[in-house]
Amino acid sequence: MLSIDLLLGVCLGYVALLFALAFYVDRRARQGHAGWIQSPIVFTLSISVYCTSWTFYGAVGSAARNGLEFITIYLGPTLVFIGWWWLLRKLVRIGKVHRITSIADLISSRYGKSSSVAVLVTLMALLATTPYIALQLQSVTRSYQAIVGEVDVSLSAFVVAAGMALFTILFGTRNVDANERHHGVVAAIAVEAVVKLAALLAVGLFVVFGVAGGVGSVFENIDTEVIYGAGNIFDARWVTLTFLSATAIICLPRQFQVTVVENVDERHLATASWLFPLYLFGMCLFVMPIAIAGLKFLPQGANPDLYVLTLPLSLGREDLALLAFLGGFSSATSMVIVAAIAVSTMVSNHIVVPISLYLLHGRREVSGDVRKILLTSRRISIAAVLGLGFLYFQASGGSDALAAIGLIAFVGVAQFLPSLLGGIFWRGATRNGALAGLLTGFALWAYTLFLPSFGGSVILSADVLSSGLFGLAALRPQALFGLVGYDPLVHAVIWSVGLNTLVFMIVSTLSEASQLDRLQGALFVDVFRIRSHEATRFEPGQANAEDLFVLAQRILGTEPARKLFDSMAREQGLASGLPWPTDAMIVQLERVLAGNVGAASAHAMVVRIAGRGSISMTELIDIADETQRLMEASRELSNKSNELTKISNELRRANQQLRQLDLQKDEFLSQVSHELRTPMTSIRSFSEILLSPETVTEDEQHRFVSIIHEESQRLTRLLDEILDMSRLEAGILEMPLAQVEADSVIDAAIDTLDGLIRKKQVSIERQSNVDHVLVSANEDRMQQILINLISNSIKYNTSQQPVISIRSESSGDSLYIDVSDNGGGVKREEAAAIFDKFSRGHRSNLDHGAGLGLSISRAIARNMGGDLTLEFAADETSFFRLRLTRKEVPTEQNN
Amino acid sequence: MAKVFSVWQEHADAKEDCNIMNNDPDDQPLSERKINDRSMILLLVGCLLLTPPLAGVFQLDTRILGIPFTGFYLFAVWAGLIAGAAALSRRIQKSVEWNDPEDAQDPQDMDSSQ
Repeated sequence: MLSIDLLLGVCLGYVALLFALAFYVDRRARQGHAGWIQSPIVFTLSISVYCTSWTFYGAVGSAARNGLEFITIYLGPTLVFIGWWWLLRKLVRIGKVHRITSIADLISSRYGKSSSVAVLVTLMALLATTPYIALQLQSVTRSYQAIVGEVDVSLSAFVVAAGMALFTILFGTRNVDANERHHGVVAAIAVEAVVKLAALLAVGLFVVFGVAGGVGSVFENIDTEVIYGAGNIFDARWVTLTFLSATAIICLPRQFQVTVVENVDERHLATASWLFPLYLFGMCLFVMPIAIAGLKFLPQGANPDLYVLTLPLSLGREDLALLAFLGGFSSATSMVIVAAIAVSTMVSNHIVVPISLYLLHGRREVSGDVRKILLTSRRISIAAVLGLGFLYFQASGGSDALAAIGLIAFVGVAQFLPSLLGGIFWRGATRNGALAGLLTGFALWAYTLFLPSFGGSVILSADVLSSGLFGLAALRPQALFGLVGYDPLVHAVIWSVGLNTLVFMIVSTLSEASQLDRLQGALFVDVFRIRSHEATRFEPGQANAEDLFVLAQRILGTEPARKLFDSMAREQGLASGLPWPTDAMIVQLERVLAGNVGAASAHAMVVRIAGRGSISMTELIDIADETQRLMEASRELSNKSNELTKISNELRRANQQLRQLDLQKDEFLSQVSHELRTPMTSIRSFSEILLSPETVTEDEQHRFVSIIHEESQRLTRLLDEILDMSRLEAGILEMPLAQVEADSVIDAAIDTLDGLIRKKQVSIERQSNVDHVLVSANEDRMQQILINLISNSIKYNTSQQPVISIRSESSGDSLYIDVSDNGGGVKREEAAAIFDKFSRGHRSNLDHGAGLGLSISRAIARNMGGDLTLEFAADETSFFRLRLTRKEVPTEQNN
Repeated sequence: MAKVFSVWQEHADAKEDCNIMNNDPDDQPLSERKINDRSMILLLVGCLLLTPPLAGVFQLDTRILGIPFTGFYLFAVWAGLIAGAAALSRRIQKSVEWNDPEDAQDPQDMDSSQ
C-alpha cells in the first residue's frame, strides 16, 4: 500500500514542479525568449487537453462496459484534424484578425458584436462546463481514495479545486489581453499531456506484456461481445458519438482556447493535423487491453472507471499506480485550468464587465479602472467557476450520474456548431437566426438530455420523465413527439442539433441583418481575402482623440495605452501628440480593446465615444460585395473573351471571302484574256495572210477584211461590256433614274430587235395586266436588259417555231417582267452559275457571246433598285424575271 | 447544412479562379485548393470507412494475430489516416499561404494572398 505521505509528497512535488515550470516559462517569454514553447509540438500537446480524466479513466470504463464504442470519442477529432484543419485555420485567422478572446466572443462578434448572443453563449458554456469540472474533481478524489482508502471526499475535492484555482489565477490572469498568450499555462499543460500519455502507455504495456504475455493472449478466451458491445456496434449511436466528438473538438470552450486563442502560428496546425490524431491513437491503443485485463483480474464489483489505477495496484506495481495517479491528476488539472480560463474570460468579458460599466457610468473615469475590474472579475470568475464545479460535485454527491456528463456537455456545446459554421461560411446568417437557433438548441438540450440526466431530481420530476410534461405523452423528454426507439443521447442530438440548425437557417433567411452584422459577416466569411484593417466603419469627424485615449487608458492602463497611441501617431506620420481619430485608427483601437474585453463590450464603449458608429454605406458595399465584384470581373472577362472569339471568327470569315474574291479576280482576268485572244488570233492570222497579197485573190481579200472587221467589232463590244461591268461593280456608272412607263420600254426593245425576230421567224407573245404602270428606272439601261434577255432567247432557241413570251404584272410596289421561251430553257443545275461572268448555258455552242450579258444585266437591274433572277415555273421550265420598283420618282414626291 | 455546404462550394469555386498551379511533381508546392481538396478526400475516406453502413462490413467474428477483427480494422484505418495526414502535412506547410495578419502590412503578402 502506498502511504498517504508518499502520495501527497509526490503530488505536491508534481504541482510544485508545474508551478515552477509555468513561472519560469512565463518569465522567459516576458523577456522575449519564448523559444521551444512556441513549437508546433507544444501546440499539439496543449490541444490534448481534450483528453481529460474522462478519457484517462473513463475510456477504460466505457470500453469495459460497451466495448469498442469508446473509440468514437477520438475518431471525431481525428477526422476533423486530418481533413478539416483548414476550418481550424480559418478560425485561427479570424481569431487573430479580430482579436477574439473566446468562442462566445467569436460568435457574438460575427453577429454584429451582439451582447445578447455573447451572454447566451457564455451561459450555455458555463452550464456545460460546470458539471464537467465537477467530473474532474470527482475523478481526482476517487483515484486518491482508491490508493489511500477512506478519505474526506469533500475536503480533498476542495483542496484540489482551490489548488487549481490558485494556479489558474496566478498564471491565467497575468494579463488581460487575449493576444498575449498564457505561455506558462501552455507549458504546464504540455508537460501534463506528456505525463498522461506516458502513464497510460506504461500501464498498457505492463498489462499486455507483463501480465497477459503478448498482444494475442490479451484477447484469449474473450467473447467478441465484450469487445464489440452487444449487437451491432456500427449503429446510430456510433455515428452520433463520432459527430459529437468532432463537434466538441471545434466547439468546446477549452478547445477553442488552446486551438484558436493560444495559437501563436497558423503553421502549427499543419503539424497538429497528424500529430494530434497520433496522440489520440496512442491514448486509445491500450484502452481495450486494460479494460479486458480489468475484467479478468479484478473482482466483479470493481469500478471499471478506475481500472487504470486499480489494476497495477492489485498486481503489486505501486510505482505504476503512482504514475497512473499522476496521469489522471494531470488530465484532470489541465482540463480544469484551461476550461476555467476560457469560461472565466467569457463570464468576465460578456457578463461582469458590461454590468460593472453600467454601474460605473457617471463616476469619475480613472486610468486603468476598467483594467482593474477586468483582472478582478476574471480572478473572481475563475474562483467562481471552480467553486460552482465543487458545489456541483457536492450536490450530486459524487454519484455515478457524473460519468455521463462528458457526453451531455458535448451535446451542449454542439449547439454552437450551426451558428459557428454558418457564421464563417454563410454571409446570410443573421444575429436573429443565431439567437433563435441557439435558444432552440439550448432548450431542447436541457429538456431532452441535461435535466433528465438527474433522473427526476432536478426541475423535471420522475413523473414528467415517464409520462411527459402536463401529462402529454408527446412531450416525454426522452421520446419527444413520439420519437422512440433511439438511445436518449441520439434522440437528444436529433432534436436539439437538428432543430437548432433548421431554426437558425430559417430565421436567418427571414430576418434582415443589421449593417454591422452584414459587415462582420463579410469580414468573417472572406477573412482570407479582405484586408481587414482597411475595413473602416465610422463616419469621420465624430470621435475625439482625447476621449479615445482616456478609454484606452481605462482598459489597457496608462503605459500600454500611451505606447499604442504613440505607435498609431507615428503610423500617421505625426512626430508627437495624439493620433488623428481616423476611421482606421478607431477600428484598430477597437480591435485592441476587443482583445481585452471582447468584441461586444469594446464596440459598445468605442461607439459611446465615437458616436453612433454608423457604417458608411459605400464601405459596407465595398466589403460585402467583394466576392460579388470578383465574380463579376471574371464574368466580364469571359464575356470579353467570347466577344474576341466572335470578332476573330468574323475576321476569319472576311479573310476567306477576300481570298475567294482574289481567286475570282484571277479567274476573271484569265477568262478575259482568253476571250480577247480568240478574235485577236483570227485578226492576226488574217492580216498575216493579207500581208502576202500574191497568194490571195481579190475575193478572198475582201472576205478576209470583212472577217477582220467583224472580229474587231466583236472585240470592241467585248471591251465595252467589260468596261461596263467594271464600272457597274465599282458603282461609278452614271445611271440617272426617271419615271418610265414599263410597257413602252418593252415595246421599244422588241422594235429594236425587229430585224433579228424577222430573220429567225420568232413569234412574240405579249401579256400585260399593267397598263401604263410607271417604274423607277433608266430607260436606256432597262432597254439594254430587255434586249439582252430577248436576244438570248432568240439566239439560243432550238425550237423549230420559236415562241417568246413576255409577261408583265405588278404586285405590291414591284413590277415583274418575265421573259420565257420554248427553246429548252436553263437547266436547274446551271441556275446558280448563269449570272456569273463568262458563264454560258448548255445551249451556248449556238453563238459566241462573251457570257457577260446576264451578269451586266443583273448588275444594272440591281443598280436601279430591282433585280434580275432566274425562276422556275411549276412545270420546271425556266424564265427570267426582271423586278423593278414601282414607285414615284423623288421629284414628284417633293411636290 | 446543405446550404452551408453549397456556400463553401461557391467559396471554393471562386478561389479556383486565382489558382495558377496544377498537377506538378512531388516537391513542387500545390495550390491551396488542391491541398484542401486532398484533405477533404482524406476526410471522406475516413468517414466512409469508420461509419456505417460501410464499416458494418468489417464487423467480423474472425481474429488477426489474436486481435478481434473489428478492433484491428479500426486501428488500422486510423493509422492509415494519420499516415495520409502526415504525408499531406509536409505539403501543407509548403503550399498554404500562412501569412499572419501582422505580416499583412507587407505589400508582397498582400499580392500573394489574393
